[in-house]
Amino acid sequence: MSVLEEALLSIVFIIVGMWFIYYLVKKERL
Amino acid sequence: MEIIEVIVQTFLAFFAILIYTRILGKQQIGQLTFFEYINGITFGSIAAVLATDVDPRRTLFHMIGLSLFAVLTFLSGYLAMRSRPLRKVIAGEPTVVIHNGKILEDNIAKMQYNMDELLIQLREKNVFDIGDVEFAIVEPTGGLSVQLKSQAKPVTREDLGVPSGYEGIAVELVMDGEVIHQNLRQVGLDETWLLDQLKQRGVKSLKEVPLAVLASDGGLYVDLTNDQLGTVIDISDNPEPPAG
Repeated sequence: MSVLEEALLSIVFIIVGMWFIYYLVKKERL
Repeated sequence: MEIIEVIVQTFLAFFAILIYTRILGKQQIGQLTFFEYINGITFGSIAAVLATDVDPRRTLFHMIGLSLFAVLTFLSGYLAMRSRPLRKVIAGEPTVVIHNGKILEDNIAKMQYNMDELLIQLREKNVFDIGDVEFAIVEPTGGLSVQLKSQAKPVTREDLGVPSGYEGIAVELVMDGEVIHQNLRQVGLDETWLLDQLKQRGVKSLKEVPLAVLASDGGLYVDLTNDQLGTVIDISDNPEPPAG
């Protein structure tokens, strides 16, 4: 895995993960 | 190149911990069972390796390990929530260690607990005479719950026949200079009333109010950025008193 791929994975993970938390908070599930 | 890799991986590990722990629950550190405590340490260790391992081939494996660990933690919590027998296995059960002023040595030995710990925890609960204890129970989180004998319990308003009204909870109306409209609506008030109250207290701008709380008796507590306390009592050994 190259650094670029790592950075890409990180960005996707962070965006999806934070969006998921935001979604759960908004739905008052968290 | 390795420094960039560590930076990227640190971001990944930081947000992975934030996201997974946020999803996994709200338990306080002091309320963790031994399993949950060790689980947290292991989780942190995997994240630390993910952040600092400079071999790019292993990042994905660390990430898979961390994610799988989070899934297993979630599953064990979910199963413990759904099934009482499993909850007993995963989280453990409370154990009675004192009954009617008598210490139950067998139960203490079963838990690998000891007399010193018991005495420390009793003293922390302001219990200095074991004879006053009706029940003492060690919780799965390691805390000690104590029920005193009725003759050793403090007198309550009910015992004295003193009437007591309903006591609700205080509601924050302003925090960090911003009105919390949702709370204001919940208590049936509006911003005009709030601004009027603040004006009566000499507040010119909301920015001067870090906190305003409506007490359960209807009184409004307002804290100002400039409290005008004059000299503030300094309990540290700092020679310069802090500004109030």
